[in-house]
Amino acid sequence: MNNQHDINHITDAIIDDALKTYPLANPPDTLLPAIMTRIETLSSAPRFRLSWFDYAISLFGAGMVGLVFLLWEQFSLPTFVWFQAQILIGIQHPGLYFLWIALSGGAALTIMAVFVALGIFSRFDFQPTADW
Amino acid sequence: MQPNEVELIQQAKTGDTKAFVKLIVEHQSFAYNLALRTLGDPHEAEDMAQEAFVRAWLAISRFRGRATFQTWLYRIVVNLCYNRLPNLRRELAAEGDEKIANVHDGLSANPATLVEIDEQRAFLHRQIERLPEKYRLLITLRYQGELTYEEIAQVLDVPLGTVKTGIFRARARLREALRNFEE
Repeated sequence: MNNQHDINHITDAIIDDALKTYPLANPPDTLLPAIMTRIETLSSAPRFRLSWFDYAISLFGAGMVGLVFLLWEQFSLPTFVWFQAQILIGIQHPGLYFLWIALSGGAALTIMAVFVALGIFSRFDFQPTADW
Repeated sequence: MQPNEVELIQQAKTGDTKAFVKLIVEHQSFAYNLALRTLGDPHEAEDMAQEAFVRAWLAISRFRGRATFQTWLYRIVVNLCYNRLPNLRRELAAEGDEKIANVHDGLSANPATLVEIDEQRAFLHRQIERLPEKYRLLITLRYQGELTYEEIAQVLDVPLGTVKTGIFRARARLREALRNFEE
């Protein structure tokens, strides 16, 4: 039993020694210059980089196009004419009450959309490697 | 991480290519060997090491030092290996997550015994080269990179148990080969 234990111990030690002494190959001399050439090329080229705001604006733009499409699909012609008439009436109204509501609502929606986009896109960094 | 390396990383983050060259010089040997052991082809390994350092340069501004630069860089190399060998991650995961209490590494035999093992050592080195990619990758990280099991799990993005099982099985294969060699 003890003898077997000794043999196992020696075998493990031999394997351990082989694993630790397994030699590393020398990297080719061309490796470092090749890396630096690529890095210098990258540094000198104008970098195209998107910030979160680009994504936010894109999302907002796409959302607006989608909204217009949906409205276009939903509104029948009489409803559309009625809607336009309401806007015209609102503009001609001395207090511009309706117009101010519409503008405020639009501004609020815009700000909300930007904040939603900021919330979504700030979670992602759009880079190829893990951020450690 | 050595204080000097922290400074080099900070300088590289500001775009200092000379500082980054020093980081490359420090780590190129292991990054290249990690790719070489995994892929088995020197030309592919060189391309992969090159790509890894370029990616590291592009991403270094976001390196926050939560892990060491070494493990962060190895993770990039391993991700490239995963892309190159799509089955590699699946094969590692297939190792399972067995409860291996203790992998018998770090042992040392009587120096007098070790003097006699040159032939066995050379034989085992050849056997290491014949191991499947997943075992070569694990062994390189553990014994040449001298990473802990936890660091290897982090680099490979696999459970700790998978790392221990993989290294245990790789050693078992070498033990079996050595037994056949001696008979």
